[in-house]
Amino acid sequence: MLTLLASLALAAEPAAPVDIGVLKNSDIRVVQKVLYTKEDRLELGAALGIMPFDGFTVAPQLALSGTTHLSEQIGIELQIGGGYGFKTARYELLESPTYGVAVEAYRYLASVQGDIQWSPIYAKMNLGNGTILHHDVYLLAGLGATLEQSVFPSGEITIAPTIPIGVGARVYLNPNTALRVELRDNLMVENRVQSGTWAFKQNAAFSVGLAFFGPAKK
Amino acid sequence: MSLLALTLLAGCNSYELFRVTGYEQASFSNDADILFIIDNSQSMAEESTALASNFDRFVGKLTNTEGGSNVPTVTLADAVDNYIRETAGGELFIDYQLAITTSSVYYDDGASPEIEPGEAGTLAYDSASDVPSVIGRGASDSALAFQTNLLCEATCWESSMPSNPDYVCGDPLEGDISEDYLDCLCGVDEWKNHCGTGQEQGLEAAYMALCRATDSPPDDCYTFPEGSAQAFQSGDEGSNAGLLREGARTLIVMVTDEGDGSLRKDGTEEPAVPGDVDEVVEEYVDLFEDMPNIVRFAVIGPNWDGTNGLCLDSAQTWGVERYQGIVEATNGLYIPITDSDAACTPADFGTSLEQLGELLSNLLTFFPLQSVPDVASIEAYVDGELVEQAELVDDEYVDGWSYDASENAVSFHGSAVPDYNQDVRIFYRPLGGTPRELPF
Repeated sequence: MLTLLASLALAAEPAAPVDIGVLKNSDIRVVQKVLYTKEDRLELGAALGIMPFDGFTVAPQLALSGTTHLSEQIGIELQIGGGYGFKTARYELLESPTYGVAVEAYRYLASVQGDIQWSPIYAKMNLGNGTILHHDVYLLAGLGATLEQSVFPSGEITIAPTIPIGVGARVYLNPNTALRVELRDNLMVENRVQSGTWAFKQNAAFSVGLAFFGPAKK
Repeated sequence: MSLLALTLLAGCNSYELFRVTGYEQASFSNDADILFIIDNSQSMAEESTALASNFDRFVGKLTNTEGGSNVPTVTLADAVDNYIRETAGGELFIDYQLAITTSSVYYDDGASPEIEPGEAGTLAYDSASDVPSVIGRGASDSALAFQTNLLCEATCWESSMPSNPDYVCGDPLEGDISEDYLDCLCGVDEWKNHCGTGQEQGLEAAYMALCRATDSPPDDCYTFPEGSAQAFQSGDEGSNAGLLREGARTLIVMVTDEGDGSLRKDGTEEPAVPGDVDEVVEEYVDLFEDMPNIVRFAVIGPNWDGTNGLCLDSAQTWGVERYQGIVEATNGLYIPITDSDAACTPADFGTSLEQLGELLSNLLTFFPLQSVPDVASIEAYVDGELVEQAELVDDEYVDGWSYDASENAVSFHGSAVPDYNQDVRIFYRPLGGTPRELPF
């Protein structure tokens, strides 16, 4: 009985206080797990785009891409695209008898580009206070070549070395599918045959497509 | 992101600009609307006679010996036959129509204060003989019809003409024109009192005539310089209906022994003054460019080469240079009205008119450029197919195109001559930059 009482007496004795300090911002960590991962996965995509920013041609484009994601932040992409650049209304006004001016413009036909993607942002957004959309934002830069054709009747073909830079976002629809929106500026050096000149040109493309993720390799 | 923004801002695209001259090779009808502006001042009777006497040579030049005005064009079979003859023989075949107005622009320039046929751009026609104001290729005798309108309505005759009692009505015109001939042609004394002003405004008269030819003339038709009368006004639209045909080329043939005294310049109401040449020429080039069809000028005018003149009489050299300027601007033709001798006799109008016919012929293979090109940059396409530059063999070009610096035009040769209805497009870099302000 004495033993029991002694035990109770020890249990009722207050514990010594523990100093846990002041909670600081640096002590806070994101504990949300990245729900949709890319690391070690292959992403295949298809996108429809348009190159509307050139003054004299406008080109719809279909692009196919493959991206291997080395980590959640870094991916390597290969993209091939095709399309056809049409003369704009401005071009047709210029070449009308009123002005009689023909601009030595080249239309987009196809492109092959390799680029590195850097995805520093993964976030969620509340859509309509009812749907949580997981998405990431990425920047890209790379190298490539663009196949172009003169809009003059001679239709000379030229291949322009291209540096693509861009920004895009993936909005995840499920763990294996994402809606991908991208603005890609193609910085090119054109060899213009009729005038015998080289010229810098940029032809930005805005595209929307779907991306499909394969299983992680590991 | 800042790097991206910087690149986007800094990287505005730049382009080389070429001139492009586009034509559609004449359709098979090969329409040419020819408007004669006749100086009907008192000094021109001799020249009008020479013009009338030789006009059949002009008509002959426009139509080949087989066809002429008798070539049928009614049915598809006719068209095919004509096409085969044209392409196989390479003969000139112009579907022309002819009209006349005078260089008198104001209503009161003539005998009456009211407007008379041939004044203010209206077309001269002889109502007494039922000759139409616009004479087509299908007329039974287009040369005679032209003579009638010219001699009866657009020529200033002396009130007393030599008599030729032996002349029988209907006989062709030979030698000097007599009172009897004119009485037969026009009706007794109907040829009198058609004298116009001594202030010839050939360019303005041509412009007025074209203003009257359309139902929707350019706004400039309704304006007029300060100090002048309004020769075209609301209600005059379409009063020269039929003068211009859709898709036809317009050739204005000025016949005068004076310079131009038109008053428009610089697109303002400020009237041109004696000595204004470039200002007036540029003004009228712009005005005629607003017309629905391409306009070219041929002038049979005073003998002045820019330094020396012959038989100029009262012609002012600046006025002559206006005509020469518009001829140059429209790649036309300037022919001296007098021979290069001291007698000041009228030039051989037959030769002059044949040259006019050749001018129309040249339209088929001759494509004027709007700016002086860097010849190395010229590329010519026919229906989208590149045409090679022609080689010179034995002083003659063979299949291809060549550049004619004197005319600032591209000519096609041999098998490269564009076929009917083919599109011709000529690209080139202008030496002097783009001549017109871009729209942005």
